[in-house]
Amino acid sequence: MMQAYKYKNLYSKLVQQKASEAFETESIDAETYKKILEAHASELYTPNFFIRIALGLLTVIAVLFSGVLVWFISGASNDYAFVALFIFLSIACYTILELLINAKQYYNAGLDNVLMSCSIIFLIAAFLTEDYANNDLITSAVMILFCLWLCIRFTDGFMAMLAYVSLYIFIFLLCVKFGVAGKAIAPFILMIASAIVYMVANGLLKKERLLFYHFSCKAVQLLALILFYASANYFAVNEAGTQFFSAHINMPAVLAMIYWILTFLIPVAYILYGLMKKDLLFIRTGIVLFIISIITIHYYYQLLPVEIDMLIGGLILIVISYLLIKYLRTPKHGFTFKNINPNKKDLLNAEALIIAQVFGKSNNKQKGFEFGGGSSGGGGATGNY
Amino acid sequence: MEIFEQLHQQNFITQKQLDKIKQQQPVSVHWDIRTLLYLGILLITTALSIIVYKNIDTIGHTAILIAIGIACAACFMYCFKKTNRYQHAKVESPNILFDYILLSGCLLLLTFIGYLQYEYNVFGNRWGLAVFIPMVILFFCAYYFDHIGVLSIAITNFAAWLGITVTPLQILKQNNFGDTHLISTGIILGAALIIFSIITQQKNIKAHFAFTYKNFGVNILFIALLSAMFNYDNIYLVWFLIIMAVAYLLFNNAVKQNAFYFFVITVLYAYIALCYVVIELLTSVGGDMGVIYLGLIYFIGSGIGLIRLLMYYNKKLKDDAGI
Repeated sequence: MMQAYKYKNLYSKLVQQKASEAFETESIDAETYKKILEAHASELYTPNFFIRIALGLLTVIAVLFSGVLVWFISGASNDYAFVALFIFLSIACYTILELLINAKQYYNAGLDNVLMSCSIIFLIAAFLTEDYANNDLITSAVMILFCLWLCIRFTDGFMAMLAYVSLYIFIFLLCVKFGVAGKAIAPFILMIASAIVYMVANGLLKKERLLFYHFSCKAVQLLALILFYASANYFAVNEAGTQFFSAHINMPAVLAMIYWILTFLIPVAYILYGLMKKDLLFIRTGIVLFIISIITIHYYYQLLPVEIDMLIGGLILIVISYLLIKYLRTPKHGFTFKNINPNKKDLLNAEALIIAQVFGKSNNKQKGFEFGGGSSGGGGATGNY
Repeated sequence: MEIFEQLHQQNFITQKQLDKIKQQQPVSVHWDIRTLLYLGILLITTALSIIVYKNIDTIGHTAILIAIGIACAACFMYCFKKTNRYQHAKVESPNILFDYILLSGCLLLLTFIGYLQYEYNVFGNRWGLAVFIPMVILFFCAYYFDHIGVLSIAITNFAAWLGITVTPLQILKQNNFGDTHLISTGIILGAALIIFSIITQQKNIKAHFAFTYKNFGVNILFIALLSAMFNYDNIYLVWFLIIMAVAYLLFNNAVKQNAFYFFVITVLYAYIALCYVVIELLTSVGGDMGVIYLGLIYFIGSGIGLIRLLMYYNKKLKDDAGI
């Protein structure tokens, strides 16, 4: 197995998640849920949300000052020494990450995420310290492989997205190398690449062997939708054209027209496809991108003053949402305005109680913590801020 | 869905449950539409204020004031008509638009009174009154209509009345925390808000407001105390002890209530104070390399130590919300 985590733990975690969803939509009852949880205890360590943020922050502090300490001790002063230093730090972060996960099975615990990112940042720093020929191309190529490895090893969605971004940058830089010719075709190549990435992720989603990478694939798909659009957005194409391609040739009118059409066509297509497939990912992305398209056109052509546009836009939004609320009061075409389960809060409290029952006790026994009587007092009724 | 089939084979779930899970449920677009609605309202109110600002010469102040006043009154009239009866417990809002209309009404009210003072100097030099009156109305609205958003605006106004800016983004930028008066006000305000949050919970009057009070209170108190420590560096150790005492109380309280959020921010504020003291002590010793190494080792060690502490307490504070 290539994962750093034990198969059983990952599987149990996934079962817990799915069971939790089923419980929240009231597909399974409390007794069933409890039974499933009891049979699928996972050793993966994921603390409370706020604790995770604090752990991440503190890890940043520890890594940062450790780096400075190593720098002082090594006395690195020239570029080569810095390259060596950064590579050492990158490897150190990665090694600590492996050791910690092996010992404690940290999983999205804040500190594993930070260590992963630090390992990447140090590696990039090592590459960019010196100015070699094609340095940026090589860096992005290495990043594709390294992030992909981190994604596979730690089943991490963010790393999957980084790997894809690296690939995107790599292809873009390749296009830049081709100068004027590259400028004309770069958007289309990037669009094709994003479409392929989307399809590949879609294919991987269906593979049962890759069950644990479901989230990674979804994350990449979302990013692919966004970058597919960004590749053809008129503003992005225009700005990138003047920034990265030395040739200051004005865009041919036909090409400009194509980009403008794509800028609006893509979000609309997303929304329509999402409505057809009942896929909220497409609908939400489509709406956000459509708004960006409107801002884009406003940037170039100001037919009306901003405030009038805002007024009209706001009115349209209110009318549309009001009509939709009325229309979807009873479910139609597979959509509903109903907040799926209005008694979600009670369900969440019940869920918290069950989880505390199943896992709270066994954990306490293992570690021998004494709670001085009050252990059931906080059983879910208090706010968990 | 594969997982549920496996669970079914292992007899964890029945065929009926499996069917129910597989059965396609209508997709809820509740929050999507609400977000769009909110965006629309935001756009219109912003657009209106820009239009007013741009055309102030042609429209005239009186006309604008009257228009804002009418809009504000309309919002409040709607709210009074639709509202559910007041209770000490949480009251659900009667419909979706209600919350937004109430919020618009309160924001318009602030604009209205601010405008009145700016243009016509209605309150004269008693600036406090121009903040005090909307504050009272806001607190009343927050309680009467049960709206946490309005409560936050009311608390912000309360602080402004005392002379402190407490909006999250501006709290550090806008305030001159070198000012002795401001520091003492901050300490008293922070402490008062915390105490009030406790009373709110004990008396069970809108108990769900307690978090908002405490959130403002804890942050204001710690920031005021920390700036006191930074400011009076001749007696910084005294302030450090006070911070530690406050942190100790809040820490225990957070552990008792399983409140992860307050637990974490208390630990982090206390850590900032500790780091300041350690740096002060180290620099007072002298500035040679040995001291710098000591400082680095302190940061590494304390960072790792705190990580362990947090992990220990994560287990101790029972994670109710989810694994």
